[in-house]
Amino acid sequence: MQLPRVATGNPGLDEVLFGGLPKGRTTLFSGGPGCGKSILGLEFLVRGALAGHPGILVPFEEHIDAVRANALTLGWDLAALEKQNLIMLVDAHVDHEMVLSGNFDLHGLLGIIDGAARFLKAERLVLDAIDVLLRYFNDAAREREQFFFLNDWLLNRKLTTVLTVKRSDFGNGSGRYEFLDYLADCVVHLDQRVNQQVTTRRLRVVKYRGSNYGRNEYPYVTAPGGITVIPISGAELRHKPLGNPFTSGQPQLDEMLGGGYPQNSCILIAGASGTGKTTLVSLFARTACERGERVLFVGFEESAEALTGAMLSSGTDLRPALKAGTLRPLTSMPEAMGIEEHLVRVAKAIEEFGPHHVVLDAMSAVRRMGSDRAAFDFMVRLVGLCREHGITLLFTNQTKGNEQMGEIAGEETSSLVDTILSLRYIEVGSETNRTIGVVKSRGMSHSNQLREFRITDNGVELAEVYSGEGGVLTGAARQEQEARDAAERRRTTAVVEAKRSEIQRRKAELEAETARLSAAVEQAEIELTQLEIERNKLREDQDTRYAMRGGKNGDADGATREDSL
Amino acid sequence: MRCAAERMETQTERPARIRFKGVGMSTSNGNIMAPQPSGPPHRVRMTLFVAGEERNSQAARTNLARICESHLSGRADVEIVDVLQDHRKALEWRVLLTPALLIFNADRPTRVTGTLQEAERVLSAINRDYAGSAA
Repeated sequence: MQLPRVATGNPGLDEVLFGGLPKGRTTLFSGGPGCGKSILGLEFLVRGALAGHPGILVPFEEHIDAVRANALTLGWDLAALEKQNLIMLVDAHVDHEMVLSGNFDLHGLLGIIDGAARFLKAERLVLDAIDVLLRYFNDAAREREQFFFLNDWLLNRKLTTVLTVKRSDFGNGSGRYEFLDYLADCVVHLDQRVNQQVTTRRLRVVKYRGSNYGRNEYPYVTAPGGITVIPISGAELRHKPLGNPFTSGQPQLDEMLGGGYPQNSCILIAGASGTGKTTLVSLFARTACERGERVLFVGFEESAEALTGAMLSSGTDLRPALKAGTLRPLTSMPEAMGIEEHLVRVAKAIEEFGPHHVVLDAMSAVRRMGSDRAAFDFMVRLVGLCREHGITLLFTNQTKGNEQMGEIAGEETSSLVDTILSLRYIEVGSETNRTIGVVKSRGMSHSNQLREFRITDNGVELAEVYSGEGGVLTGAARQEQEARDAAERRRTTAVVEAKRSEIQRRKAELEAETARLSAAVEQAEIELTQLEIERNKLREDQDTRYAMRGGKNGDADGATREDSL
Repeated sequence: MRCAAERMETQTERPARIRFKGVGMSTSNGNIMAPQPSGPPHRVRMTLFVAGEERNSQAARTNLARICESHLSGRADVEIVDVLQDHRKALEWRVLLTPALLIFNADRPTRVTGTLQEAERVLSAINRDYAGSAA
């Protein structure tokens, strides 16, 4: 059986805690100075109060006026909640000048909490910086004994309690307040660390008695509105399937992609510096904005103005989209904050702006947020966020040269993306040209051919590449090859033509010969006819002469005459 | 923040005697030393915060009665507040640790936390308080 839970009202934290804090039990938030544990405690009370659950705050370190002022900077008006008896601040700032004489205990505090809880009908209690109070006992055994006593009393009183304690000795077992971890029913460690000069914050649930919880470290940030914890668990389950493709803004590229970039997909455009990554994503952004869709442009490389200017030179005018408000730039230096703050900025922008597409330029800059790991964390969460919202995410990654597949995407990121476009330089002869290829495209039939990629004043052009025995050719070499091909084509044509005319000529000769021969035959026939006429005439003459001699031996003479002819 | 002082004013011109409110207090039995001149010459107003009959609180009552008797004879007005009964007063004076003695008279009350087992510490706090108020 699971313990009943009390929602803290902080969505991320509640997700990590699988619903909230253990009801009627003690939870410990511990961490070093400035990690935000007091804010998290306060947030528990404020969100509870706003939902109609009264609570008591006992800050042992801060003056209550300071607490009120700090809360205001986070957007919480404690005074208003106090007036409605939804929150009570107990001025528990310890009198440092007091004289100690003999033994003492926490009954005063308990009497105050008891009375206040009855008055408010409070369900929630936060004891902020309990270590400050315990320190007055100045003895480990007494501190422990008093805390036991306090914890028992709180359990009997059935208040859902948050204790915060300062510590920065996680894990080494030597901490003065380590015992608190054993006594509390739920323990949350907040850790603020500096990684390559960038501060990052991580939250981890160390234990949750009799219950399950998210066991990873989760990034979080402090911002107006409270702490934002970024859970990663279960995000996969809410992912939306890939939708219909959107045009890339370049018809030939669409053709290569098998239609375009699918809705809700994650597209990586990788390539070395200057290969045209930003140009491609800008082209997509402009085209989408022209359709009236909203695009969030997350830039880590240059300002919105610099980007707009740079893109003009390649014929991509982003200004109308910016003016219309369909394109929203969100630019920052990666080093300016930790990944969690970057993430929260993007998440807030997505929530407020509701973009159809998110463009991020460039993931390589994300690494400057601290480490490769930080960049991976950032991308995993951003991809998850976009998939949940059905947003198409295009991002660029600058590779150092023509690298292997793994390096194009960063080993781990490649599994996150649906489509990878690889832009490369190819050196042929004395010039460098660009090629573009679809390395991977999940669920789409795409071209496996490289195309030449040209950025002109009029925009992006793709050209069929020469793919022959010499491999892929681009630029001048390609043109030379094309010239050679044309010459060859011309030569072949000439040969054919020559052959054709030869045939015609021969046909003509044939006809002429035929004519000549038939003329000869005709002539011969004419001559034959002449000869026959002559012969007949001769025969008639002979017959006439024979008849005149008496007609003897006519047949024999005739035969002899015939033979003699 | 100074509300308790009002309650004390009524006692200012009264004859010298120890007044305990709320909880009864037995006088000291072991200490038969002669009164010492270590207390201030004027009247001392104090509030002792206790938690019912809890052990430390009982000890504080006993110790305070002894100190008053032996060092402040006739010059102390003591109010006793039970934090378990009157949490508002504890809240007002930020009494988280009990027992606690608040010594009024100066601009700011001096606080002695604990069973008050060391009479000298309590007396020196009372005298410091006096010095503060004279300044």
